[in-house]
Amino acid sequence: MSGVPVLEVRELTKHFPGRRRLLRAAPAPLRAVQGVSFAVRRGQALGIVGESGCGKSTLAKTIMRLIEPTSGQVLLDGRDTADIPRREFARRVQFVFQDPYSSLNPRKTVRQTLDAPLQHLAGLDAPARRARTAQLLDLVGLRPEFASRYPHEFSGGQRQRVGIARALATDAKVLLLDEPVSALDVSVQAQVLNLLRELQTELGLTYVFIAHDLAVVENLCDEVAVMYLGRIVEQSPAATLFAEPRHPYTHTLLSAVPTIGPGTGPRLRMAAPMDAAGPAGPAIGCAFAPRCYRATLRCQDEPPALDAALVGHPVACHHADDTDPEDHAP
Amino acid sequence: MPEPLLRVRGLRTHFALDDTVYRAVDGVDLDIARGEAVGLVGESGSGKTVTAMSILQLIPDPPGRIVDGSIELDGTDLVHASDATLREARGGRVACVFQDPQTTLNPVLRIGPQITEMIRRHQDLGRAAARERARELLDAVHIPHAARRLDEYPHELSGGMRQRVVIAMALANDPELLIADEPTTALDVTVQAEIIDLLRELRERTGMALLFITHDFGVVAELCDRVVVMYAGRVVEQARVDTVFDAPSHPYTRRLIDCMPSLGQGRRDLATIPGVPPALDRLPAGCAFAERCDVVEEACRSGVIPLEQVAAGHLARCLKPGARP
Repeated sequence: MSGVPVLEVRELTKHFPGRRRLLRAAPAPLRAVQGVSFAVRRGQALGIVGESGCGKSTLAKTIMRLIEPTSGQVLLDGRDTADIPRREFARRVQFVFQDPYSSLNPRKTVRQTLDAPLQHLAGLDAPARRARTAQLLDLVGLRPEFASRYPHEFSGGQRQRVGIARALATDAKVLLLDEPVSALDVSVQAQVLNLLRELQTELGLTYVFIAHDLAVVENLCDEVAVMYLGRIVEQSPAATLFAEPRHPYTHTLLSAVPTIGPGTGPRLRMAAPMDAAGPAGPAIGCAFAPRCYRATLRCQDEPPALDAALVGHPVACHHADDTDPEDHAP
Repeated sequence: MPEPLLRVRGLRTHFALDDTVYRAVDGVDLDIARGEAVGLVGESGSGKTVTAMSILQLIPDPPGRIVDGSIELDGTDLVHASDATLREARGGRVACVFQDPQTTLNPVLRIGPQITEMIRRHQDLGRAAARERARELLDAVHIPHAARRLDEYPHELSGGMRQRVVIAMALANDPELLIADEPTTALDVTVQAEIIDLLRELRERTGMALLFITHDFGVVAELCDRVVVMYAGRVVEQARVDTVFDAPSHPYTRRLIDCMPSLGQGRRDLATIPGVPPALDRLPAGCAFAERCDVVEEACRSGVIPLEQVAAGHLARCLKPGARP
């Protein structure tokens, strides 16, 4: 717990205005991210999990300042990123995208792809860029001659390595990774996860890792935040979260993961489908209440705060200390 | 063993492009008994989808062609079947569900007509009766307010609901075999769990057989009786689900299972399989996995390695089945 966190997000909120139609009242804005706060210390990996539409990618883009937040702050080493010049920010915080097929320019060689940040952000001259490119390729486990090849000559795993090399080109210490392995085959996914873990140790990187695959998140992250409809509903060290989930939504996500081994069979079905609620959710009260097996009248009326008082780590649930989910299963 | 519902023997489907022959499927043997659920597992490019398309003769020709092998549905040869027989089979006795419900459904048609078209193509029903049947089908896949949904367009439904509609269409003519090609890959885990539970329930109720194509062993473990593992266009192992996980015979199966991160293991290095699968236009002699195998020996690199029985109901295409380094 030493010093200032590398990356801190305070009450970050992003609303997208609804599309106005002629002669109709303006629709309610889409609340993609609603008051999200977290801090990541140097060398740590924070995983953010949730279903599609929960706002995890919007959160990442807002942190990256690819889209402007409606309100809230992002701090890098204690400094508000709104005050950090664009280039300096881009040197220090980088992004790894999900799809290594569409995130690399098909008409540029690896060298040209890496040259852009090295020239414009790091200001290196040609010989220095050449040396750095070789170094980067070595770092991500690609052979030096790959520098003159085009993306189509690579497999998915190799492309994702190029994407990681590009993110590391300017010596960024903070990486946001948005589903970096979900488009890859299992055996390749394992290689990329191992690489990310090695690089983190070797270079002291800080990760914000967005994924929907809980096993992948557990494999890479120290801490996990679970998002539901724009809010963090539970956050704790990975080991605690996976062993003793406290929010009913975390329970639901975990029980949905297909597992190998004895005892697989019809699982505990713990929450109603999303369609029961719809992404707008109730106007007041807990957003998860319409799907929740624990919901009481209080949940309909009073939104739960993300509070560590009940169980020792932050959970946004009035009944987080309720320990018998099985009793409530339908 | 009684006569299987589907019997595939020595299937080879090749694609010829620019004077190069890609052997996408190059040796698939597959039996599916009535009411049985079989998982077809493998990584991208292993030939899973081409196998499924070959069964229903849906391979575009050219460039693709079934060059060898037989496919029998209940004793009827499908490879040389007439168009009429195939029309009868497709969507009738054998139905398909594909990965992306977004592209399976016609975006400019309401749900109702898409399902009734499927019904009336195979059954002699009037409009009103077909519509009633469509509503029943939506009920059967647990779509709320089924009657209202019939008048909606695909974009008005969530991904999970769309996949339910596609499954309802597949069930329209009481198929004996449902081929599902990665039907849950594009869905969230919670929705995936709902679809798996739905397929399990439908199978119990209708007794249909299932060929479930996936790259996810976890899904197979939850849904299937038997697993068929493919590598570089060939079946390399077949066994009951529990056998494959407890005692895999082929080194590829063993190592693929080891690669999977699973919950409850914390931060740790994952096992990997070094190297990449061979190019399908340059498959090596002998075992296609030899280059990456940790128990390879000289004999593995020549000749044809047959798919042989290692125990009752357990086949492997390996000279040293069950060997460990």
